[in-house]
Amino acid sequence: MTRPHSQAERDYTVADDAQLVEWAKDDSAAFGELYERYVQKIYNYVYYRTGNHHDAEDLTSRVFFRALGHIDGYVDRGVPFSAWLYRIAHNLVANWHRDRGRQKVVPLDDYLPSGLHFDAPEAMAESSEEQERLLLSIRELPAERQQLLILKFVERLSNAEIGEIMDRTEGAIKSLYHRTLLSLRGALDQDEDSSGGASERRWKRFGL
Amino acid sequence: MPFPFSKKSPQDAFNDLLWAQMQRQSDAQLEELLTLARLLSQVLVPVKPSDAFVEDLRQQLLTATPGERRTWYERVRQLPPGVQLAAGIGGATLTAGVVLAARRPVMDALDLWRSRRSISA
Repeated sequence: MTRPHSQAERDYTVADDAQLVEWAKDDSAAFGELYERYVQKIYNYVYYRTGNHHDAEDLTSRVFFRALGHIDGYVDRGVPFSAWLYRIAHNLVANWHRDRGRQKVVPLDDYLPSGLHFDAPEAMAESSEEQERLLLSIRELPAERQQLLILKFVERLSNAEIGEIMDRTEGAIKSLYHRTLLSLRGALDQDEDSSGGASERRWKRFGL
Repeated sequence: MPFPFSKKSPQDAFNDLLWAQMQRQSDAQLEELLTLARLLSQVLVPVKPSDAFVEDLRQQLLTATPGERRTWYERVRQLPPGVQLAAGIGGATLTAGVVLAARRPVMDALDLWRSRRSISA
């Protein structure tokens, strides 16, 4: 790989992450390109781990400032750069939960998933309630299972890509995914039973 | 056509994999898990940070100098464990050597002071 001598010769948009990281050690524009590539991914991860935009912004800022502060000590060990960012985000979110205690409320006022559509208004209300319950159940899962779901469904990554980020084999990710679905279903059924409803009702309600 | 190399959509391919993975489950259980997976794909959708936030943070990062926010402790913690251990041992050895080297002149000075004091007394 040829390395341009001056910053003016560098084409940040076509450079791969490893090259950008090397440049970013003494070139803030290179770090800016890395930031552009990953800010939304990190924001999404933090948002679904915290449940609100305010803390998502705060923690996303901290992730990138910490990354900037440690970029000159970054060693490429063959894992994606994003894995390093996710690790930082994971640690900061863990600290956030530790400092604040587990938050029980997911504000959904400004969050409107576009997937579920019903003709009847009452079905729409039930849908919103189900979504909130599902999000709450997701946030009750262990951190690594939450991360798996976020990477799979929000970032749409393959099991192999998720494995690289989470430092696991593809098979381990499949297994973890299966266990996560089972535990999530169990949590939802338990929640439904405790609220007096029949667990089968939910599944039929969506008509899927 | 969004996926020209495959006749299946990603969701269908994903569902097929899930079916294959969970062959030991009963049909009813499988259907529930597939429903749950579809619900997840509808609920866990990408969210977009505000443009103002993204731009503001970008400006802050670009004007910051790499490494300027690291404390001395963070810099040391960033070193590999072996280097930290070697630095610790080296530092302790150097400190002990300086103490030992400085001990003799100090003790000699103390002896001299005591002897002068006893003579004058």
